Amino acid sequence: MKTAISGAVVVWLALAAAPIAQGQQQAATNPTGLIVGRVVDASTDKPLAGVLLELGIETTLGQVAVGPPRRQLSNAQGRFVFRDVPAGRVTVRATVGGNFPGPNGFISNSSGFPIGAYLPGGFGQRRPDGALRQLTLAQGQNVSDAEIRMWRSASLNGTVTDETGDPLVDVVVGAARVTSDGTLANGPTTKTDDRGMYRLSSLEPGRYIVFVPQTQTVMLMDSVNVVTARLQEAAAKNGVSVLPVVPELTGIRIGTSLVSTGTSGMITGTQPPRTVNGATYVLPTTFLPGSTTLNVNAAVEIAAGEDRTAADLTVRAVPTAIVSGTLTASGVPSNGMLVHLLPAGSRDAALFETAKARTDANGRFTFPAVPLGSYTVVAFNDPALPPAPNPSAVEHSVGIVGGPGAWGAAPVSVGAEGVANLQLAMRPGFSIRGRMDFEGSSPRPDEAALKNLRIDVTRTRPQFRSIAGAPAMSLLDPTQQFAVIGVTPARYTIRPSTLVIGPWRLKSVQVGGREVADLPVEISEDLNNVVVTFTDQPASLVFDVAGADADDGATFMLFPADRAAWSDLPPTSARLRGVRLPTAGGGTLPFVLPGDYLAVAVSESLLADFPSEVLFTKLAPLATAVRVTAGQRTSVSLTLKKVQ
Amino acid sequence: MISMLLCSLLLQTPRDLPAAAPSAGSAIIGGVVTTTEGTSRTPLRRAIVSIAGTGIIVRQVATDELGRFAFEELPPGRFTLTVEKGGYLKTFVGSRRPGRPPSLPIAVVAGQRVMDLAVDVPRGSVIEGTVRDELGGPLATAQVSVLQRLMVAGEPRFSALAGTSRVVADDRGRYRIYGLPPGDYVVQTVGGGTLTGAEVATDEEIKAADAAARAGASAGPRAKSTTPRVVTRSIVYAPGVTDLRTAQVISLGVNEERTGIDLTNALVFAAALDLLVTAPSGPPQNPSIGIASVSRQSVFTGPGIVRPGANSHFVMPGMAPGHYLFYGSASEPGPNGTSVPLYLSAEVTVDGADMSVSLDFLRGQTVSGQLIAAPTLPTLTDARVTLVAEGRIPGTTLRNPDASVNADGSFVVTGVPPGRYRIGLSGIGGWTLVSATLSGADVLDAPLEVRAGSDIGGVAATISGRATEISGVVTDSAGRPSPEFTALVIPADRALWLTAPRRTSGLVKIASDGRYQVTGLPPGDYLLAVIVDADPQQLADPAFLEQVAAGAIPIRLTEGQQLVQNLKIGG
Repeated sequence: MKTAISGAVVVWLALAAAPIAQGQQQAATNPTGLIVGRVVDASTDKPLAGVLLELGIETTLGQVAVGPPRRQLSNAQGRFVFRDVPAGRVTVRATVGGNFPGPNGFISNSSGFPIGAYLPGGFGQRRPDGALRQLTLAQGQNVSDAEIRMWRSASLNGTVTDETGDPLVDVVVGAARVTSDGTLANGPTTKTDDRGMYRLSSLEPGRYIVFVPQTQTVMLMDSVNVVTARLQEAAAKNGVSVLPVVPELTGIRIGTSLVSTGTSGMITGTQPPRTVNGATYVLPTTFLPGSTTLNVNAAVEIAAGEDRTAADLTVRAVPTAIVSGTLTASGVPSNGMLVHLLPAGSRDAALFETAKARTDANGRFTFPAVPLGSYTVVAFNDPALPPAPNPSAVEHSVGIVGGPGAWGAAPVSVGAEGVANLQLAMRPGFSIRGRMDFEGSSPRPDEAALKNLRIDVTRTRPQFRSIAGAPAMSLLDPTQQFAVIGVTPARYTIRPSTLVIGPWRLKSVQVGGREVADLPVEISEDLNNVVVTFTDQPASLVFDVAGADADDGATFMLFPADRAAWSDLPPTSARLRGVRLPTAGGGTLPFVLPGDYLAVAVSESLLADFPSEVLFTKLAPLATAVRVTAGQRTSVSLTLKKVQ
Repeated sequence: MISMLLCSLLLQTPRDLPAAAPSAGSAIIGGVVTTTEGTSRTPLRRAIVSIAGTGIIVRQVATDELGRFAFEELPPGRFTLTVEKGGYLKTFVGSRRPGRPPSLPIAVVAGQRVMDLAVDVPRGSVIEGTVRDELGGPLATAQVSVLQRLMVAGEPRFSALAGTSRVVADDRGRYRIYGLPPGDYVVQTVGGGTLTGAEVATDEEIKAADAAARAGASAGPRAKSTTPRVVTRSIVYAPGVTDLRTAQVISLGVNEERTGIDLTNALVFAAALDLLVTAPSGPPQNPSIGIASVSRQSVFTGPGIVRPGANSHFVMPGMAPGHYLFYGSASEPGPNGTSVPLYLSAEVTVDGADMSVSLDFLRGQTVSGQLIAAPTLPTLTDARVTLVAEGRIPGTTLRNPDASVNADGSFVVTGVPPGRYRIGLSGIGGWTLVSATLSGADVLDAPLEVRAGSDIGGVAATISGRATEISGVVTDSAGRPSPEFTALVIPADRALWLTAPRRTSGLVKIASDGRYQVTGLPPGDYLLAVIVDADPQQLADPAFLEQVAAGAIPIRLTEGQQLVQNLKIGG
């Protein structure tokens, strides 16, 4: 899924030969390889200067640069040269402008969206956001013509105005990419300038929804008054007459509530509500061109390098109603908790959140200015923090009402008359307990290695900019038991924080006899006796592919046979494997999680939606079923499939 | 994110607490917010008006379609208002300077209605342009910000403007900074780091490497011992200069839009500096070295302990081209186990080529003199004379040389690096310096200049045990104390305005009962004024001081005089 990796270029985990063992690289002979190449615009073939090229050197899993980063900037003719390249498999990544404002106009590889005029890419890429290809260099081998093609990024430009045509200044404008299966992937945000104009740039080609989010932050006046009284008391005691500024208490009073405006320096972009003749109006979250409801079918389609203009939004003030209620957990009012009001269908997307309100001492919350419509009211506690080797200690150490992971959600339909006395009860979070086993004769990992090992319970597909808080996790206790406390109901993967510990590889994660290692699992109850097993005899897969595309080689893909996993399999799942072959041929995946898979060989350019249910559904009829058995070597022979 | 303060206050809250609104009053303050475009004045909708003051937390309202606002239930007291709206200047209600604090307080009594405030909010000014790289392409991700230029003691000083953040040039290299108050600005693209190990190959290198690759040669043409070149982008000021002092100064009035402020920020090769550290007698002890950029008029690297290798060398890699000041301190052994302080002050110009530089730590000069008092000197056991340095570049002063005073009033300060100094005295309770003459000039009213290789002797420093004091009460026309004003005393002699900070009181806060007090000014002729809105930087602006002088009362202070001067504001 693009959710987690937008802006990062996919490199297939191409374990086409035995992995290079850690530490072996230092022992390698003098690196003497030479890579000479050039960077061009994919559409015009014009050379691109000033492109940052970074050499990646492969280790066991994924791409990790060994030693100091190897970097080149392409020269005025777009040319570059890497010297002293070690033998092995290397990738060359290319970026323009980076994905984070570095301290000097250079790249900083922090999280964030690309902000250059070209999409990030690298050697072997054949389409925007396509997979890279590795270069395999023997000792002393050279590459003299590494051509890197880069695609211009697209942009969306427009103006945001209110119903009178006045520009809305400093409001947030966001874009979310609509994936092939209709879900929303991460996208960039920007702010309008003093003319109400915005530019969302560095976009991959695709379908986007564009929106102006408006999220109210609300607190009841009785809470504000209590805090004010305390501040006044303190001020009187200290002999001062002016009270300190508390940003959260700075806002506009609507009825019994205070709607925060944010103070200078932390502008939220949310416009203040207005009361006219006793009725309160707000600017609602608005989608291009002016709708107040999310409709992925109204997405804008943009091509590579396209500069779309006149994507103008009009944000119209709408009448509102009051929604109020009480939040409890086990009958006890929850004080100081955030209650979220999310439009129905927006799942956990914080950017679409209509309002968040903090409960008072009696658990009461009020949303004083809710645009009419259908919503979900949600409240939750974060999971317990690790270390959690002693489960009983954890459950009693957290003082929040309802305990870690407690959650409550209720649909609410808001009409002109509003909603009063909404009762939202938080239910306890779930816990996931189990142990870790090692099967095999190799020496067990030492205490230090086990001490750093976590069991992570990760949402399979968090909505972009999710309101969901901290991830759930646990460390191991001395007897290798774990207890993840405070999991709210959703789909998750349960996996150790690393799949490789010395000679050990993950073999399985069993829940009540069911295999869930790196597969989505719905958590709707406590799970006990979860067993995480490592083995020193991992299963492997040997494959060969007959036939290859003239200019795109062949890409071998392995994905789970279980359709139920297709919709939200995380892109980092070890059950998703791909190898790009420049020509027909084969290779070995030395470490594969046991289970039932589908294997297929196709042209890489067909994999634009990787990974998605749409893609897997398209590939399944062309695929060959493969059962990978624990501890064994499995072989599969494929023929390159052509797809329309 | 909720603040810790708020969280702790909320969690202490007992349930079912009566939600009585605290200190609800009966006064009202309201008015209309407008903006003026050309000659037409229109209401400003959806502006946020904030009020702060006696006993209330900040309250806010949004203006309506006609720009109107009102704050009700105010307790008796004094309140200040501000108005904010995106793209407009944050307006401090009552301030005479657009976009600048402070607001003029508004006093209300119980039940009073002040509904006629008229606030005109100007649009902020705009600077717009494009940042390009050395090949003319857009430099996306360049961070752009403005520095405000202020004149301090006749010298330009550059500082970041509060409340404006850096913007990042977009994928076309374009930037737009808006909401600027009137003033003088310099546009900069911020740099500072390097891209370590990144190289740009020349065409010749590419050709050679290409030939080598095709021929299957096992190594590239460049010798492996060559230090990898490091590329960087320096800080560049519009119109594309690296020296702040030669930057284009953009003077903006109210609601001005300045476009086409383009900059080129070229990729430059950084140099490795091989630095040799020396001292008069062998290697210096505990050398601490900092680097300031003369071109940027700011510290580049704070001083840190340097441990040169056995041969007294150390290497600074990745130095961008520019003009630098290496400054620092160290010591060397003196007679009888003492330690002699050493200083470093070396200017180095880096042009992109690797270079060797000798950083020579030197012994300072000696400044000596005599304390004089009438009729006799007090006990001088704890007395110390300190030379307070006035650094050429802010932040580069490491040490203010000082010395104890002998029983006969003589003092000798050793190890004084060349530079400009003010003489300070401490450790004699109740006694202050009145004058310090050297060759007929008072070196308290203008800095003492210490030059390399030239010691200074014979400073005659007169001290007094009786400090002066000016005090009084400030009231408004109705006789009420007026704590919102500020008292200011400046020398009557205009020549001393910018050179003698000791003769200026600074901005003196008036207490809530209207009282003010200024102590310790040296004897002389002064001007005493009460002002409403000023920031400390204005005290260095002669034009502002002329305005102050025009409304001021002349006073004369003799040694130890206790002067009482009450002041009444307005008619």
